[in-house]
Amino acid sequence: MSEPVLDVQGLTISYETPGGRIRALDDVGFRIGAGEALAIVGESGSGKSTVALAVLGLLAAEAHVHGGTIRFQGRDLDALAPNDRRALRGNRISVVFQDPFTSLNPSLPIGLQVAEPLLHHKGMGRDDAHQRVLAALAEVGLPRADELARAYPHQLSGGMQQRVLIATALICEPALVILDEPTTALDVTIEAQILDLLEELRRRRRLSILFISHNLGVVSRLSDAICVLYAGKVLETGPTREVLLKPSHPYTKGLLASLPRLSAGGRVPRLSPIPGRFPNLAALPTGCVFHPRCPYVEDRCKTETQTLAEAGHNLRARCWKAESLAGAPWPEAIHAQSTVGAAGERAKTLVRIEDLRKEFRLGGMFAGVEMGWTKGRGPYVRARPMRVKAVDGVTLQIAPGEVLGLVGESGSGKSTLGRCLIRLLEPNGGRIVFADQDVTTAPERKLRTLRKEAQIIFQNPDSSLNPRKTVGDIVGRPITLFNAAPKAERPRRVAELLGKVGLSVAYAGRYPHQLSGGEKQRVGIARALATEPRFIVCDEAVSSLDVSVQATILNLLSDLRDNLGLAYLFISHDLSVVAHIATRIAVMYAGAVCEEGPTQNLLKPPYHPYTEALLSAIPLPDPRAAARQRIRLRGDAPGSGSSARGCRFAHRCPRKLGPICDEQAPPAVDAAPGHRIACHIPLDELRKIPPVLG
Amino acid sequence: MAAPTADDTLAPAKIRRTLPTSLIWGLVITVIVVLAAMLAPLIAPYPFDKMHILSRLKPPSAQFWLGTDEFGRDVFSRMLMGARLSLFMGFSATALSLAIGVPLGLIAGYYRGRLDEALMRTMDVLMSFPPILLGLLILAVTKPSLWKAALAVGFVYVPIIVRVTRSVTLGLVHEEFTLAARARGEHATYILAAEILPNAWPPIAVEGSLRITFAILLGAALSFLGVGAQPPSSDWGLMISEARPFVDSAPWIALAPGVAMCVTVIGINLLGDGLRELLDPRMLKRAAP
Repeated sequence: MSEPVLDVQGLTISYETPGGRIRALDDVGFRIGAGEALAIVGESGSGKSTVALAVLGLLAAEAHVHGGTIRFQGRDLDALAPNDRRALRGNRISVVFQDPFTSLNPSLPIGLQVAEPLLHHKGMGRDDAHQRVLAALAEVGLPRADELARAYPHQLSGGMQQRVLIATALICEPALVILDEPTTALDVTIEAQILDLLEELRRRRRLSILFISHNLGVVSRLSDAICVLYAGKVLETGPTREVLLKPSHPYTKGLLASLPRLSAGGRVPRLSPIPGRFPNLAALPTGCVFHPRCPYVEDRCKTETQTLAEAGHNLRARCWKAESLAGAPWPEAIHAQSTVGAAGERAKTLVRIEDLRKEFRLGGMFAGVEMGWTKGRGPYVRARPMRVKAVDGVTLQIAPGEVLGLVGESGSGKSTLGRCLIRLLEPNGGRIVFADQDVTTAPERKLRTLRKEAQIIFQNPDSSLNPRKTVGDIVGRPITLFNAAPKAERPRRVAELLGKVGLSVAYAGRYPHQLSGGEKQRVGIARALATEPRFIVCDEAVSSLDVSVQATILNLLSDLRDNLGLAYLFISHDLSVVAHIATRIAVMYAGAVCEEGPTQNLLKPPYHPYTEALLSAIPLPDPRAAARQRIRLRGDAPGSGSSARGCRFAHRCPRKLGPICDEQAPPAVDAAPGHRIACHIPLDELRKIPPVLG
Repeated sequence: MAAPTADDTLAPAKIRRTLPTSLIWGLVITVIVVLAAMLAPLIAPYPFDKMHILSRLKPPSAQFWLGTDEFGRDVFSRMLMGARLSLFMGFSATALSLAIGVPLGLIAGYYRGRLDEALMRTMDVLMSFPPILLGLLILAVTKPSLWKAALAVGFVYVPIIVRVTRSVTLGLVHEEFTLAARARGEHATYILAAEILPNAWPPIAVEGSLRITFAILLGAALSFLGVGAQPPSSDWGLMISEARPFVDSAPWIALAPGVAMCVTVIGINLLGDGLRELLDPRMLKRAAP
């Protein structure tokens, strides 16, 4: 075996924090050979980013390296002087970070930023560097490189910015590229484009890659080997195929079981999440770090520190039972019984929106004000502010106890729609009927029913709770407001609500910053339930949570729906999450719904070309799926090039028919009862499309 | 009903906070100044307006600790009594600007739109005047007195408080907990007072504490110019103004109130800085997850 490009052994790093010393990495080791890609996978707090920073030599001042070696092409990096180490960065070892929007300097032209490593490390002249930059930009699939080199970051979309960063990382032809969550901030169709690009570059250039991600699906596309990190320890490592298909460590099994899976057969009724919560890094459990959450736990696990050992199938796992558990499935969660869903109930409508419209005016009061002089008529002043149609004629219905999933990429208007629906935003047109009452323009004082019966759960657990209030106050306030319980009863009612979301009464006295992300989300749900609503808008309610937490919250939401007969509008960018929980799905693109139908119908043909592309873009954590046919969209950013009259999706549509798509709005065709597709392509043609999901 | 799955054993996180040094020093100095002002009649060796005709312009001595002024009044006693006026000026003016500025800022930031635009442009106009000029403008048309000066100073600093409050509010309005309150139909007053204000308070408190020192200085400047406190009161600005002709021959008359003002301002500034450090949300370290 030739010498590895990167060889990390026994890396142990801790951080000094006010809460005590935190062990971020503990005896982490891995090797990456020439042309190999290794993925480090873990939830937040697992220490995966610390690995990247340690390899780059960019650890914060609070970090202490207690031991371990990092060898790059045979050289011990820790023995290098800071200047020699710097000479490697961006030259021999380069990196692409998560957020393209903050990784580029907004005040420098693209060309200069891509050229910088050349000027700095290779001592190249500006003109020579410029030629290389143009070639590099072309290589990462950016058109009109010459113009682009003169542009500034804000003129580029997120996907283009990420391509520019990849070009910058590759321009010095590094031996190792570190990709730190390179697609996490991007929409799924753009993510698919970037993954294709990375895959192609990797093949063509034989790049060695250290890939850091929380997303097993993305990882399965790009890596040869996986290293599963949990609380700073490598729990399992091995070839990608084996780790994903025959995991031996209970944690890996749990992670995979937590993922909502897409299948043409419809939804898996219930996810099987990992119980418990991520350990406090300042006070790790004794023995195996995973034992408090492990379903296979035995007494020996609680005392004996585990070591990485062979576990068969080329896998190495930090679990003494790994070999015996090799074939054992993750225990399935207990099925909750569904109590609602009677057809009679479904026939009624709880929420109905008709032709809903919402425009936003851009800029301040004087934005778009023009002043000028017309010959013979004197001076004129007129206001022509820029307007954005966020929601443009959407019609939807939600029955009591039904979950309508609303899928779309960023900017599709799905959140705006959700907020208009409960009158957090004022719609510009159309009608909203809630419980047979027109609430479109009703003044606030007449909205009492809507305010009580329709609630919302937000995406960001950190900002959805007032940091100055205790959990008890947060959950108790809606009860007080609606006088839902007599004063003496209120503490008991709060306890009951907390119990419903799986929290004990002890939480009532805590402040939000004392809770974990999943717990905050539970409190957010309890607050929404406090008014005893019948309808809840879940606005990306699980999007910012780790996979295992996401699964528990999804299960909780399903249980609450079953037990309380709630209806949800479940908004998400993630089709696999939506398909898991929703009974019906609407797909939104650039402010309009392009397809709507029952979940099982929507996941197989006939479908709208955009739905097809979305399905095809989702990275599945299944190495066998790599061979599936991929539909890729051109360009990005809906809206920028969409025609005013025709189909909004026309300019990106891989199945565009011709001028008709640009000129006429597509008709809504009923593919089946309750299944509408807005497309010019005849239904029979759409039926012939080969299914994306097996 | 879901079984409680989350861990209940976790004790409420302990927040480790050490008091910033500047806060401690600021507190010590401010407490001394406030005590001196409160106990002035007890500490002062003479009434502040008692004239010792035979000992005019005397340098510091055992009898007159900080000397006497042109009328033979004890400078030390006057300085102590002056602390009352200065602190009154500082605190009442700041209280006034907070009382007007905070609600206006909350309203502007919450409602946005034309109201915000109109309000903020007015504030911009007010801010375009140098404070001293605006103060003079307000006071020049009426008969000068200390409380009118305090009123004027308070008014002058309203725009700054409005701006600070508005900018914090703008961020908080889009926080999801504010949206959640709107989604359950809370009245705007409740949202502003119970959801937004408690979170907006730290930067406002810091700004307010810094405003106190500016108010003291501006008040002294107005008195110095003759439109604030009137003789024979012992305002520090007025004292310096009266001592001006004797700066060469009897510098202690001007020096005493000058140093007193300096110490007070430094003390309150340190307090404000310390407060900023203490209330900075980044200092509120959560226990490890």
